[in-house]
Amino acid sequence: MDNKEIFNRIFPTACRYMRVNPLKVDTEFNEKAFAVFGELCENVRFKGLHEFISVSDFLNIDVKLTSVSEDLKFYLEGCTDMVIFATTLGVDVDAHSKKIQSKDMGTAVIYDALASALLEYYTDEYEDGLNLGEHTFRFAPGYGDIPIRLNYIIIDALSISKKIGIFKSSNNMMLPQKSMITMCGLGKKSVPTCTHCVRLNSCSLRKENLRCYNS
Amino acid sequence: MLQLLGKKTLFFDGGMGTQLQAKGLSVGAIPEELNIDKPELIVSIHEDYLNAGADFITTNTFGANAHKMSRAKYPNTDMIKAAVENADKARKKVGRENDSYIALDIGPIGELLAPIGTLSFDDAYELFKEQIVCVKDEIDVIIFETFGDLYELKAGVLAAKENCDKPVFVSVSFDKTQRTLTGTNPETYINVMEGLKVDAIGVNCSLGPKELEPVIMTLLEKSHLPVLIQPNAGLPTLKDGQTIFELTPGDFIDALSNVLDKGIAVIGGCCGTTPDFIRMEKKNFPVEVKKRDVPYRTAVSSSTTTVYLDESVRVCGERLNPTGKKKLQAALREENYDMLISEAIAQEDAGAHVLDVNVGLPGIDEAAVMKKIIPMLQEVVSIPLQIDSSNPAAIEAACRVYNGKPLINSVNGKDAVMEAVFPVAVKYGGVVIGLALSEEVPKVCDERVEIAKKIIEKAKGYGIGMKDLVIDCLTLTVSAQQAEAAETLKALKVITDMGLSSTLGVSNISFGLPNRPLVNRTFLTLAMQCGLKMPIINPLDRALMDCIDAFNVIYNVDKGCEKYIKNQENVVVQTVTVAKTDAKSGASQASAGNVKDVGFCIMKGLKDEITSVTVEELEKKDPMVLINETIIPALNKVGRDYDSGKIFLPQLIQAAETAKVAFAEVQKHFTVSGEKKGPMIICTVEGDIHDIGKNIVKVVCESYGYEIIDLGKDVPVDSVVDAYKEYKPKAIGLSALMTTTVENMKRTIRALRANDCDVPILVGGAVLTEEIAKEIDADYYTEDAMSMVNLLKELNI
Repeated sequence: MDNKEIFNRIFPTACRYMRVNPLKVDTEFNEKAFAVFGELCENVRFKGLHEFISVSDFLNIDVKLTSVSEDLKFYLEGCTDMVIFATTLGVDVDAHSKKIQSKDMGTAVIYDALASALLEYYTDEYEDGLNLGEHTFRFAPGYGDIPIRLNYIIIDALSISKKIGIFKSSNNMMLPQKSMITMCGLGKKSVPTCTHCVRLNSCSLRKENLRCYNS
Repeated sequence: MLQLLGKKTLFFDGGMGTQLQAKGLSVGAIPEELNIDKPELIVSIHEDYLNAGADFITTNTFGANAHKMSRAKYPNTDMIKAAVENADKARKKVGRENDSYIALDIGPIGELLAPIGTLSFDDAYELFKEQIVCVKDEIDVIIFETFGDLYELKAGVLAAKENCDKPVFVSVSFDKTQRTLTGTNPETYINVMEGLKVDAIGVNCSLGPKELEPVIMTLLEKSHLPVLIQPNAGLPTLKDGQTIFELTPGDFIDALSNVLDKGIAVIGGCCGTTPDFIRMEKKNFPVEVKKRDVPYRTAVSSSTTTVYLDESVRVCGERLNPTGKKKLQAALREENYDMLISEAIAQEDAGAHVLDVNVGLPGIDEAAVMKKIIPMLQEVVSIPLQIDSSNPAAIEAACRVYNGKPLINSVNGKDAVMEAVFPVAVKYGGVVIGLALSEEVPKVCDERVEIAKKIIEKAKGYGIGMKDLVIDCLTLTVSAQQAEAAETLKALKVITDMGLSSTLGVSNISFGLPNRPLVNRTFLTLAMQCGLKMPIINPLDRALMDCIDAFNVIYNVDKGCEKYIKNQENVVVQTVTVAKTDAKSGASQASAGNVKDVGFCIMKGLKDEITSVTVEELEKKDPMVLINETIIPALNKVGRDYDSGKIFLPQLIQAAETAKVAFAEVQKHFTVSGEKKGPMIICTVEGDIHDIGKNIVKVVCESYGYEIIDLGKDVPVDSVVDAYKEYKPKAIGLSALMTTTVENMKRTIRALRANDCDVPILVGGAVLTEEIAKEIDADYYTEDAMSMVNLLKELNI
């Protein structure tokens, strides 16, 4: 798939992040975004890893954290195995973002939104490449009541910093900023819903009858 | 050991994690706890490696820093001490206490350093220091391994060198693109670590021996230090749900066949390797280390780029210097560094290879400002920096936090100056500019050369070689000292013939003359002909840069005239394009009934055109009229269009930035200073490094005339309180992206209230809602930048 095709795939998602209605975008904006996408691609060093792990091993990774989450139990119910993904666009994307922000905030917003959308796209591709068979949707610490601190534990437990360069910062954020740790249960099919989202009652997308997971 | 290092091949051990996992270490368990819980297990692994022939045994302390060990059941230093005892026990058990060495293993902290991450350089230093000090007398060598961030490694090396007298080995991980996780290439890694005077330099982990071959070859061809390699046992693959490494010990050695006899000084193994691998290495590697003949080069580095100053002409950008620049002086005094950042980016984009950084102003704490500004600059530019100061403390402060091998500007022929600066250059591994000036200003070539020789001799006494010096032959103003210009050129020739690299501040030559650019261009060309390697100039001066392009064509440096054609073609194409664009856009405007005035430019976000259009309109209109009748209405229309969904966030920002440029231009014409609204403090709260939203707010508010004091990201609670007391703002805006940092927002608000803060506190950020704002005692929640401006208007701020 060439850059233009990838861009066309991710552009609607990026628009959503910018609170732009993709249907109302004019050619000028689309062309500008595509030029920014070119700049983004020059800085992307995508890296991904995955680990298959039994659900019981995962829940024991830090019992204090995993036991408090009802959502985690709900999503993994009926699964004996799961897979954890870690994906990142690399630090150069962050560094270039900072540079653009100093030059042109308008472009920086487009760049940031495209980077987020591109990471999701690459992660989807990565997941598809594994042919996992029947599996749940991908979810992440921070989703519903799953403690975000689990990121911290997973990064250490799977040596993710060493392997692909995703680091934790204070307050359990991940660096580079365009990085994700996600997971899904194996052997069961389920799709995402808004039911467990913290923004259930305040989500602007829902008000417009849109969903963040359907771009 | 140092007597053997680089002469006899020495052997490290293999993987520790691999061995522990084979013996049942579960996912998520902390390997370092086993030093205390199962010492016999660790001792037996060391014994196996010693019996296989390892000269070095690596302690089981890879992750034993206080941050990573915060979940462990024992204090990290207890686990480190136990690890060293285990290693010592093992070598005594096999009777090798006199011919084997304990290597204290230190891995990355697991957090990225600021400015990319949140961990400060000083905190990283302290974490490493703690790991080292507790066992410094019981170990034989320190090995920093598997590092992916050069800056973090520098903190570690300094912590080792300043707190322990044992040799220091470094080893980093490269990916298939031959770059580390933070983008460092092997040449840069070598240049920086040689500067810091480590004892051996190497590569480990991430890849197998075959994939690492290009990196190993670069280390052997470019480094003067003993080379250490510890590859993985090939690439990991998944079999029956388990990660396994593909190579057998025999395959491993086969894969190393191209580099086996090229001068590797120390060999071991990383993930997937076992005692059998070490046994096989021992059998196949030559006993003697082949001598390598590596030439010395004059090179400075950022964290990702190395610039050689001994080949073709390299440009040093001169614009980050407040001398004679009132705006920059004011910005430095107000600690408003946006202008420096923009200047730095503009110079890099214009083709500078190195950037001079000078923050010297009377009454300013130069060392403190250097410490602040160097990381900020390195966050946005990728080229090396030249630390320019006459204050040795400022030079040291800058060199310490500099991520790379710095260029230090400068010493001169005075003993006192050299004695203050050379030790700093030695410690941090800088290249030093030696200015051919002493108590007296030299007049003729010979005097300059004599001073240069004195500098070379003195540097030698500190262990600084000629290749770590660049000589500035001193440009004097031709209008005042006409005869000396030719002497400068003569001296350049002599210095070049001596094999030294050279620099000159070019534009000094023309001071006081009409049509200075002509003299500057001519002088630059003559100087390059005499061997000038690094002119210090304004890279935004296209005519000067073009001279260099043309020079490189004539001297066959620019092969196939590629760069020249590219640059000159652009000039022509640009002219045509501009003319075309003008005609086309003029037509479209005419058809749309628009005139390309200031208002139109703002609404369309034409940032590149706004300055000239504003200047044109100011010839016809009073500045205040332009503001009130054009700029403000245009901004208001943009705001309304955004609110109604006619335009989107990027366009709103583009318009705001364009308006800011227009305001700046108009302000130049005020006879009475324009009244600013505010000030308002904004920041992203402690622990949160996401600042794009906060930056959008800043741009949009500034375009509406608000003075914004931007405290930055990850701002500690106390700093916000201090800023409140210092600046007495009319409002405070706090931003947070993460649920976890909302707690810090709450703490910040509580602290402000406890300090009698009586101005409105506004909060925003992806995770916030009206309800959360109330919960954390904020006065207002604003959903986006535009609603923030509307609220400020409502509040009469």
